[in-house]
Amino acid sequence: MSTSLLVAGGLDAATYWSLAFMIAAGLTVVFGMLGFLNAAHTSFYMLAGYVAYTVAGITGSFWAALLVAPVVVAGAGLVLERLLFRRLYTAGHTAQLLLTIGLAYVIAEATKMVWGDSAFAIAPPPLLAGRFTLFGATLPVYHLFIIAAAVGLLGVLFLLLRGTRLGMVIRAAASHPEMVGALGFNVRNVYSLVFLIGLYLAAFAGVVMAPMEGVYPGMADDALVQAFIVVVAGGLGSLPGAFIAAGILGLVQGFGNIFFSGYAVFFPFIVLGAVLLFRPLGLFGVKSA
Amino acid sequence: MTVYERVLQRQRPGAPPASSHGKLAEAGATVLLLGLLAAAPLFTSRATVNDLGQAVCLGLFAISFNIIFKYAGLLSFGHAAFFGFAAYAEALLLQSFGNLPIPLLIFAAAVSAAILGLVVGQVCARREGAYFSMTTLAIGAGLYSVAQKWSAVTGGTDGLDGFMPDSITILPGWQWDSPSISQTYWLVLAILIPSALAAWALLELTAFGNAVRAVRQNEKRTKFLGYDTHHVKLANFTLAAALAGIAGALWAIDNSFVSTDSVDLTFSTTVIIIAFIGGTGWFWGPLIGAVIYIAASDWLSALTPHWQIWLGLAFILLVLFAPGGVAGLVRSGWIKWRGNV
Repeated sequence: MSTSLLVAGGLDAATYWSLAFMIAAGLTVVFGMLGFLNAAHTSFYMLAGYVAYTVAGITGSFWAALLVAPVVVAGAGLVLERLLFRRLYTAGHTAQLLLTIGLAYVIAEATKMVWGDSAFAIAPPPLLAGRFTLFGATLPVYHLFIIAAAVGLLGVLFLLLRGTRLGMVIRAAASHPEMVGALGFNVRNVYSLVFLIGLYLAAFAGVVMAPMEGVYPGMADDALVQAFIVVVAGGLGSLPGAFIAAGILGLVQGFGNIFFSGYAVFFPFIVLGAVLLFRPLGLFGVKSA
Repeated sequence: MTVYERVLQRQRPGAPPASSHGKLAEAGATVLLLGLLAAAPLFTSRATVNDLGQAVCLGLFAISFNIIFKYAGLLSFGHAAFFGFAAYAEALLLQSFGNLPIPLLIFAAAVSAAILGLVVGQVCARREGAYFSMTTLAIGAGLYSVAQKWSAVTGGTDGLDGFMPDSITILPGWQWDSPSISQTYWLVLAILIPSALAAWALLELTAFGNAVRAVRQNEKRTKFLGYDTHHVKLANFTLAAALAGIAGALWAIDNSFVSTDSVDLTFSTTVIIIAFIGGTGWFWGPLIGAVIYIAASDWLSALTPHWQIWLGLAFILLVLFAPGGVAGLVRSGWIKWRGNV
């Protein structure tokens, strides 16, 4: 086993880890704090990819797409939250799943209506387009950017939640909404904000992923399966759990692609099965629902 | 119980103790629906019979989904796994043993789906609520990637076709040479209706059915009464898988084509939509949903290639404002007309 393969596998693993965690983090945070399970979560991820394709086409700049698309998509999500999702926070997971799969269905068709059935590639910005050599492995620079973007974004999120007054209110509202409301905070707006953050993460991931794998009609389903595996294996609602599970999945996918190329697609399911066999509620799951 | 579930409960026929009058109306509706389906080739065109063949297979599939939803209160997100598995099994069986009686081959495919359900159920049936849905989705997706990758057996993305023998054996010594569309349709119904009726009887008339409903209403209490609730749930899950398997096998026969479309995530979603359009509160509701779905897809796809967007929107409105589906609407209309039954 040569060093170059190990390095290449390691970088791939870290890239998958970053993407999987960015997508799953929003899903699991919204579940943990609002009790809302959103099966259309990755539809916003897909939508952001397509919007980014259009924005990049018009402006010719990836950076403009990265700036605009997540904001547009998360904004659209906020409107939906006000109109639809908000009514469902206390309606039970069955109603939430039903409505959000309906929504995912609609978004998938609407995307096909606007952009057609074909896949599109988005060029990475010139600055990140090349390759670099490390221990004999030639690797795309863009993967480094994905990892850096994920670390940066999640770092900001962590600081926001743990280090600011707003973060304190959010955390308090998740566990004691009535008390926080009694103290004069608008809990509904706090919930909307949490929802918005979750969608922004997914949309951001959609744009960042686009230069790597392109945008295609099935990407919402692919990502949904991956995100559900991460969230279930990590324990529903647990952010550290999602972080670890995304890491394990990243490892098996990154190295699996290199050493068992044809069979790597099965590894996430094997990991999920193994986790559930020994920890039925996931790695960090606590019995509640 | 959540607000939504209370709404569902209100719309669910038979949820409040049904009077004998209500039961009679339900039985009448069942006979009418099944009778109309069986007699359809006598008064409709070939194309319609062709569509109905697909609709009844989808309908049985949606009924099997609803066995988990209505009776166990769980939302399966990967139900196409069983349907697709049996469809592939049926195609492969026909390829190798085309001269054996068809009912035997369908039975074998259904058993294979039931075994898959038994294995998968070991993991899924222990889950509740959202965990169940997410686990079934993952398993369904896993099976989909197997079907896609293992192209030596499944034909990959091209799928399998040409597996139907020219002359099919109904029973030993009784063969049909290149059966007509109506003949195939009746063959499908001859297996479909008894299977569905058997499942209905098992759930509505036996102690097993009562146990399944008791677990749904209060698992802890049922456990205290001495029931092994895991095995009750597992048995119900396996029953649903077997029925989905019969639907898949019949689908393979009716279409003479099987592809990864019958195991993918979209198909698992579609069956949920079908079941809800028809109405999950009535055992036969999903069958109505499938007929509506096929009719709508014919009618709408002629108008716009993106007809599924309207289907999705209709589904959202339905879940919000008429969670009982068409069967629920008919029922409340009937109650208004006849007074409270």
